[in-house]
Amino acid sequence: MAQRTQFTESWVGVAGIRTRYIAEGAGEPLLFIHGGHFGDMNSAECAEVWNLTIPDLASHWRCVALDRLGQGFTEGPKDEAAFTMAASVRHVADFVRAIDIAPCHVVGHSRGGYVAARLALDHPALVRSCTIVSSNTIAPGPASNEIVFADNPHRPFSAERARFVVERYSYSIAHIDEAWLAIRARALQSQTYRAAAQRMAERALYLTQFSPQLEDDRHDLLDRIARDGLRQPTLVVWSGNDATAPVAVGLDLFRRLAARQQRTEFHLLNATGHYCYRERAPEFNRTLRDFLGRV
Amino acid sequence: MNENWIDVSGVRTRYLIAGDGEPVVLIHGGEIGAPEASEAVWVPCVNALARQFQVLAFDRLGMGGTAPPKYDEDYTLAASAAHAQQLIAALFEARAVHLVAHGSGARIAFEICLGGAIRVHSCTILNSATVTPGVMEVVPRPRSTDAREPRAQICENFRALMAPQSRIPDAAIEAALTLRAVDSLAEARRKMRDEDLRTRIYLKELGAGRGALFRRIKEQGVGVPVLLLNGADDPLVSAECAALLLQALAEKRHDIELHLLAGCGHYPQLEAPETVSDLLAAFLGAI
Repeated sequence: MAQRTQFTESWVGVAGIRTRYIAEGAGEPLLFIHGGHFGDMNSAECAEVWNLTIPDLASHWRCVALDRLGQGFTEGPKDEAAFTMAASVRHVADFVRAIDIAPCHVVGHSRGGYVAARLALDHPALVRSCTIVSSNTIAPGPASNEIVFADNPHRPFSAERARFVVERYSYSIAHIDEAWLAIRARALQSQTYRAAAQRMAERALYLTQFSPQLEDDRHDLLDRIARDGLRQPTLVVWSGNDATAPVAVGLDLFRRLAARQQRTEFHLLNATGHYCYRERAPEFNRTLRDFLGRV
Repeated sequence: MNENWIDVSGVRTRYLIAGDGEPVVLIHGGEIGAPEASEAVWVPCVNALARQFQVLAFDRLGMGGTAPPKYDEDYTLAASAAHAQQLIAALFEARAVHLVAHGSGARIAFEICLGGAIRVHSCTILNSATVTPGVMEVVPRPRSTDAREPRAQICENFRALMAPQSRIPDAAIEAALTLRAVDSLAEARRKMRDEDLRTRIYLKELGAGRGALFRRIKEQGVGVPVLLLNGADDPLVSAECAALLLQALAEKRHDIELHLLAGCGHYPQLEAPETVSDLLAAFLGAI
């Protein structure tokens, strides 16, 4: 499948962090938040994961996609204490203010779905509506990622290792474009990405800090969803064939959100793995356009 | 919108038609004789859809203004499907149609998709217990329709299946009140209840027909893109059951979707007509 992977790239300082983003279109701002986390030696996410969504939505919205803290080509945290999901959320909130797009619609995938929900709860003035896509991070229950990807035969930081991750995440490889993979590999191998990953590995920060703090934060998030709910209209989009985020988990998350916010919708797509907005791009784009048009 | 009448193999059949474009056939749910079950449940969506499509809403066999089956053995969903198919063929000839079905109407829509006699573009199913695995035991019990306070009774019947905060549109109540007074419908209702056609014929065929339907869906697939559009607070059809139906349909197709609406029960087209019309127009328009 021939895909467009060239977008106008911009840079902005966000609380001292040199941050990369791509933007296109005019209208109400729409912020796309990719998944993953800094320090992952298997695969790197970056803004271009949305390259099948942005060209379609840019006809009606100002589409912005950033590289999150220590991911893609954005610098990593300065202090060791900031190797946390909370710091990554703060960085996105500061980014929204820095490029002056509040209030914006937010769309977050995977770990980015957690960021989207957290922004909606903790910074309601920044968020107009919230879309959460295949996010096991926010949903209750365990994560199977480490087991799903345990048999990756390639060496850390290699393009082959990153390709394996994307393919294993997918139902069909039709959405996987070489130019997109090349950008991901370039991010994975970039100086800034590797510096953050090395620092995280040396001090075992994933196990000692990132993971336990995220677990606490997630419990807090689910408690607050149960107590107060999100103020914003919310769309949950889920994949039918994602080993890391089963359908039952998505339905559970939808129920929890719907209990406190009547303007909550859920959309399930079949024949797709983790990247449903890529594998079922026309249907995802139509569902998102329709939802945004309504809220 | 004007009422129209057509003779379908000797059955006088009522329908509404509006707009221009690709045909969209709206198939209501409910059981034979029930006054709440008629094309009236679609009225809030017809105008919105008629801006883009030619929309047909009709009363199924033995429901609304359409005459009851002549023979007891035709108090079935299979006979209702055959009737619907003949009506669509008569009105649209060889044109391909989009099917949008609610509740028990889903069986009719799937029979048409699988039957091959009508060309179908797409199929949308709203909250159907009839074609959903695992919910046989909660197929709606017959509720009394002959109480002394008919309006209260009708409201109660709608209310039992809607989300607590939903409003029943006045037009839906008025339509049911009018239908409640129609003699042929009262007679069909009496036969379903007093002669127990409901258990002996209707439900018996529903169970057997559903098994056969799932077998055909597994073997040959439904043949068209399907959107399952469900109110999430439906006491009859849970989100999990809808996800099971998606899985069954997905065995042969890569273009199945499920959309859930919070704050809606069994009648999303009455409880959130704007949202439902939006979703339908977007889905059908993209086919």
